[in-house]
Amino acid sequence: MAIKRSIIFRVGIIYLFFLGLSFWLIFELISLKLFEADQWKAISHSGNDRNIVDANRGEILDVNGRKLACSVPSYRLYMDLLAEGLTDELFNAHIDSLAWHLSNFFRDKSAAAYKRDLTLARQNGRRYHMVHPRRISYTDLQKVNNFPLFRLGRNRGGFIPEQFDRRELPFGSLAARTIGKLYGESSKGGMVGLEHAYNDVLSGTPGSSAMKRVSGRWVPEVVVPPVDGLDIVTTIDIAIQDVAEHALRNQLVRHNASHGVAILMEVQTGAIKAIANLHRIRQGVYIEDYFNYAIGASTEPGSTFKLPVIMAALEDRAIRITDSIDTGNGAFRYFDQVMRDSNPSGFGKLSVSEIFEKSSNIGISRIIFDSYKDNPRRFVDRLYNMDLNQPLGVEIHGEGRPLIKYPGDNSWSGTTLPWMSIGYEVKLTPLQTLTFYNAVANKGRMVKPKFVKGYSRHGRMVKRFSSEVINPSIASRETIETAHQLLLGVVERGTATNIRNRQYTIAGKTGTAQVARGAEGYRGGGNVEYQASFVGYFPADNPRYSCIVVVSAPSNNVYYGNVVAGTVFREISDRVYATTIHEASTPVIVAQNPNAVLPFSKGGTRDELNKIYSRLGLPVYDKSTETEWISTMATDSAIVMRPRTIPPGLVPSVIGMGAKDAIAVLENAGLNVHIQGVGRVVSQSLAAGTSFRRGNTIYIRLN
Amino acid sequence: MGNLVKKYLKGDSIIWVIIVILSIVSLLSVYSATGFLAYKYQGGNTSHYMFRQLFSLGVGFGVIVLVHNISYKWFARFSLVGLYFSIALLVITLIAGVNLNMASRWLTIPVIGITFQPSEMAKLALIVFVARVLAQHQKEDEPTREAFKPIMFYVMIVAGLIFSENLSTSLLVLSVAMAMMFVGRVPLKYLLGTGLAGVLLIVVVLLLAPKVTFLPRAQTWSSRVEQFFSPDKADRSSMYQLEQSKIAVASGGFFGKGPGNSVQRNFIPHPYSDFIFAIIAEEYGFLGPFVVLLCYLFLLARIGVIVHASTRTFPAFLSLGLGLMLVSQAFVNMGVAVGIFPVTGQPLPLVSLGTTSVLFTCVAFGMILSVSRHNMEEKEKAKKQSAVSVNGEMA
Repeated sequence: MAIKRSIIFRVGIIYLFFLGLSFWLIFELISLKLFEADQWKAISHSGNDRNIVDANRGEILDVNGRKLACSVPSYRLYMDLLAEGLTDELFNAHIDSLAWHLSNFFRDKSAAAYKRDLTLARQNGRRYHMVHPRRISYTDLQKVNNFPLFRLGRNRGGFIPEQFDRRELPFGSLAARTIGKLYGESSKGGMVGLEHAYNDVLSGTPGSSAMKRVSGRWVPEVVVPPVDGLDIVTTIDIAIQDVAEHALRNQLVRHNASHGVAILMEVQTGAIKAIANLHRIRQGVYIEDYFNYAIGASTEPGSTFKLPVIMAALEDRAIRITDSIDTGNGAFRYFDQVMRDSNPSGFGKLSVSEIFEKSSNIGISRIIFDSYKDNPRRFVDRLYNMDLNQPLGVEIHGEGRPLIKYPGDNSWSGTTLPWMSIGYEVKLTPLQTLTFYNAVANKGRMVKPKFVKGYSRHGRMVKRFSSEVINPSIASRETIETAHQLLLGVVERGTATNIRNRQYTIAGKTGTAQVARGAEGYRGGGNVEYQASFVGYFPADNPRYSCIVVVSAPSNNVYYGNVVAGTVFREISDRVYATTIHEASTPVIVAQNPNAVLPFSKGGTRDELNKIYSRLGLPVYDKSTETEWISTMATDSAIVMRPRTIPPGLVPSVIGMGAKDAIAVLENAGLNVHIQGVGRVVSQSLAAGTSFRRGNTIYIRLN
Repeated sequence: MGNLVKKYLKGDSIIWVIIVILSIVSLLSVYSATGFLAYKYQGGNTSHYMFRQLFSLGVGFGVIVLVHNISYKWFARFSLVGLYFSIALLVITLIAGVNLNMASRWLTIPVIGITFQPSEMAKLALIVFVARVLAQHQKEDEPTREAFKPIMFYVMIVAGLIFSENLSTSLLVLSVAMAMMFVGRVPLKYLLGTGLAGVLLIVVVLLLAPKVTFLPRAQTWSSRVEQFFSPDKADRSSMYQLEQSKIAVASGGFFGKGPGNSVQRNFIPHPYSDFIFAIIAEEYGFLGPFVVLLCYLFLLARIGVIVHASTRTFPAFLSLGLGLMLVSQAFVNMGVAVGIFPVTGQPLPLVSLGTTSVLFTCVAFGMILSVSRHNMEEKEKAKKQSAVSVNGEMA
């Protein structure tokens, strides 16, 4: 019995030992699961391998949904020369043929140079060696993927193609500065323009993926799907933009001006239909990439400022339109400064409306000086009440601040009041000036310029912006009406009779300002620099659009606002009137061919077209076999699909394709594409089947 | 049904339940953990290894049924023969073993072509032998001094033959033998002395590891032990297994990722055997590992019941030795997964993938149940006769 008791006791001890071990185990389990979990998860593969999946950046569209900016992927080649599987044996065996292929592909260095380059990089242990700085297209990447070594992939061949999304502006320079651009580094997003202002909306939310084991292989699996950015539907109408930029460019070239601005705004909504900023880079060559003068350039407006000035006086009833003032012999002295009129011998005695129409500096300044010299604050307060001193607060950054001096400021002097009244010693941007004139056209209601109509996704509007009112009434109805009559008079009888026409009426004001050149003042360097401008609205009886044109430093001795800027205004207004205002009032009846049973379609990719036809239930006769790109032809019985052959190395034919497909085909072939018009491609500047150089520009016309 | 079960599955019913639970856990976790193997060797047939394990468990179940019907007296009778046979196999393995996983632990049976680990068999044979020798030398009011020498002699032979290729098994065998001797009332000073000598020997071997060329695995041991005692010293690659195992346990959280959702199975080496406990902890949170742990604790408790019910010492020592073998193996496996033991390749009995391990585990279960069956039948008889046992050795 003693033996048994002893044995049982000893078994008990062993059991206690294991029980203790159990508690330890449970403690470890719980502490791993509850208290150390984050620490261990942090170093786990599933945590480290979580990759960011970039969301697709939204597109920027014009008011009719045409693409102003879209993303096209491109690739830059890197190489990990110490890749695990890249042995000396492998490297030495294939480096010569790889170098040959690279040299043959990029055509900039010899095969020997590439070999030297890569061998050196390997000796230096480079793990992320840029093979070539140029980015290549997706189609080219497929070729490069087949190069020796590269075809072995990243682990054995060390090949790392890095994807970049290149932002493409299908309409080239049109409104390019306002559309904006991105930083080179994609994560930084938009740099300027709308790309910057709406970066958050455009960029979307990136998702994440983790490597997951599927069928014995590691494959990336999306954990959190990215939310693609929304498309921005701008108020810009690319057709009008085209006209505006074209007209402005011609005028700049003709006068060899330094830079110019043209903005077209819809009166009621403040929607910007066109905004062109051209800058001379050399004689005869202007680009739309330098600076957004329309928004950013705060300059002395000159005579266009006379409108708010005279409106201030009218509001205060300091003058009546019929009062007359003697403007003298063309020169008038305020203290130590002499003011001159454009007519060297003087205008003599003029009524207030004549003063405005002829833009007499002496006339305006005498009205203001006489009325307000004892109480200049009252005058400036009037201007302030019309919100001229406030920036517009447009979303595109870099807006120039308006400057309107206040009596008592350090820079306020005796001559400030008269010179201010003719648009000097004040500063406004072209957009701010336009917004003021637009308010006059809009019966005193000042609306904020609007660049974006709303957001859309997949062609459907998901958000619309309404117009913002800055000031519901900048002046009394009477003053507005008087101002309107004054502006009409400028075109009818005054300084801008050259743009008068029979079809519709224009109301506006010319401006010819001398440009202060920093410390040298207005006459530094022997030459006077001018800024010619015209701002107004049309049709004057029922204003639909307002427009400003500013041409800086025209140098061919013609600098008057009516000639230099007025003609651009007229060209834009003519086109806008013809296409949008006139057309809308006379409906067009489209003739239909009763025989055409089957619809005509653009060429495109076979899969997409097949999908559409089957959805519509149309008979298709497919002759294209396996080709990706096809053209179609509607016959009596069926739509015939033919292969659209694109021989490699030659210019492909894109006739009949839509803009998106045409850009894809041409860009993939290595051409730079410029688009004109809308619809399907009717002509291309480089004939199909001809040879070309990589990077050549092809112009395609759509209709 | 109930009658049928009672007719064929005799002995401690709780042990039977434990066997069933562990088998189910085994099938679930093996299926989840063998995806990688399935793609590497079986062309993506993901259920291949699960069915293989199911087959092993099925055969194992048959083995248990068969063995537990054999009287334990037969085990005693054949213990010495079995031990000699096992030692012979171990010698052959050491000389001509198929080299798998860098350790000559496997032997291919020539005709059938099945590979198995003779050490699994040797463990059993040794435990039966130890139990028998201990039983033979039990004397009232006196410690069992005489048993120590013969036991140690054979334990050293077996442990010595295994230890060069499988240190952990040999240490396990040694520990179980010591525990059995402790229960078998061998004087404590003998056991402590042996333990001290063993520890010294191990330290010497580990210190000399880089220089010992005749022990190919010495370096592995030394690095594993070193990293266990000073984790910051060890380089990342040798820490890898433990680290990945801990990640598995931790990332499973309290509620687990759910069956088949293990991620760490792709990073842990041998997720289906050595680290299967980590996979269970990852997929089933806290509950899964807790159930497995309880199974083995209950097994040990039932062994205690069997020992208590035994009227003779041999069956008591036998069931205790076998139980200790299974349970300590299980605790080593579980302990490795959470980092309380150095990394070593002990399978989780009845759960880990592996035919040899499953079959010999089943033999052990069969023997334990045989003792249990005998005890219950004896009790039944005693009840009927309500007479005192004739063989009064333990009375």
